[in-house]
Amino acid sequence: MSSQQDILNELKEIAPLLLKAKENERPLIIPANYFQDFADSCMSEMKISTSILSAIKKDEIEVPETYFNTFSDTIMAKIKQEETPVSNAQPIATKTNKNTFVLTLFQRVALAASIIGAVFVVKKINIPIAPAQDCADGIACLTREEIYQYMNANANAFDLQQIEKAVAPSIEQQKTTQEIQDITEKDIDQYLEQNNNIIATEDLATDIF
Amino acid sequence: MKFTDEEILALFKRSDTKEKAFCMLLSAYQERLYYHVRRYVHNHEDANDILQNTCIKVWNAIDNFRADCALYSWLYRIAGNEAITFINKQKKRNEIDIEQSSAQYRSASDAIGADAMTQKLQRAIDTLPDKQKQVFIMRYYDEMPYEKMAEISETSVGALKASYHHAVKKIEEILTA
Repeated sequence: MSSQQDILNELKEIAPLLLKAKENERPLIIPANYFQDFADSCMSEMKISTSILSAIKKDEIEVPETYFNTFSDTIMAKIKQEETPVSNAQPIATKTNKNTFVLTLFQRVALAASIIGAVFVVKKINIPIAPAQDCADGIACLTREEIYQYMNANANAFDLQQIEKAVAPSIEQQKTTQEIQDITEKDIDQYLEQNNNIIATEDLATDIF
Repeated sequence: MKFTDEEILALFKRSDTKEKAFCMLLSAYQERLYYHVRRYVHNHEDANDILQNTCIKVWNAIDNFRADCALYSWLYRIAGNEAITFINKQKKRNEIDIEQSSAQYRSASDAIGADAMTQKLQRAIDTLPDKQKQVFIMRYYDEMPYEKMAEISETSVGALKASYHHAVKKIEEILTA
């Protein structure tokens, strides 16, 4: 089997579409006499590039004989020359009346702007800053709507025991509230009289902080 | 009269016959080299530029050629590398104006009368990495046996087979997309 046939068989096996494309391929269009003239054009091209290269080599860049010897002196002289006009500079011309008026107006506007700015800053400082939400437990940062939506979506995820556990503290709190409501004023006064010493000590303790 | 590679190389060694040897070399291989580089680019002008660069390289380096591989393999390698260099340079230039380059590409494809399938195939080949592109062109267009490809690319036959397989699959994917 020829090498070409091998290649076609291989292509048929891995990509039949490409084999089809190969069969329908059109020949490339090349200018007439291109290959006949190519050697000549290539030779002339090479001769041109060779002559350009040799010309570049011959025309070496010319540098004045003492250029590098005097280079640092020349630069220093230039630097000094540039510095001189600054020291001998003429004083700035005096302002005209018109300029003075513009300057005064500008000063007034600037003063007004700075006062407004100061007032604004003072006001801004006095505005009480809302305390940052404590997001440590994650729930504090959620809105009511979000909590409601979450509970609705995950209603099946909570078992009864979990719910009882979660709700238990609030039930106990309710019980305590009920007990407090049952106590009469008389009972309270009696309790305060009996525990007067302890309460006074606790007040003192909180005063420290 | 046809000359062998050895005869051409012998003529290259003498300064008075170097030009003649060069002309003989070109007449022997220019067409095959041209068709090879033409597969990398899509118009005659670019192919001509690449072929000329290849020939200049050959002229400058022929004295260093050691007959450890066939002359044609050596020429082929230079031409392939020149084509890749040319394309990469062009890519960098065209990055500035992608629209312009695609317009040039379209007009070039129209000029050679390429049908839709050929255009699609050319675009698919353009997307291949350099190495895969070289392997695909050698096998698909130049119908070269793997052993010859291995000599030119200095790569093992197994690696070339894998590379060709990958390239063909990629192109097929693009064509059917």
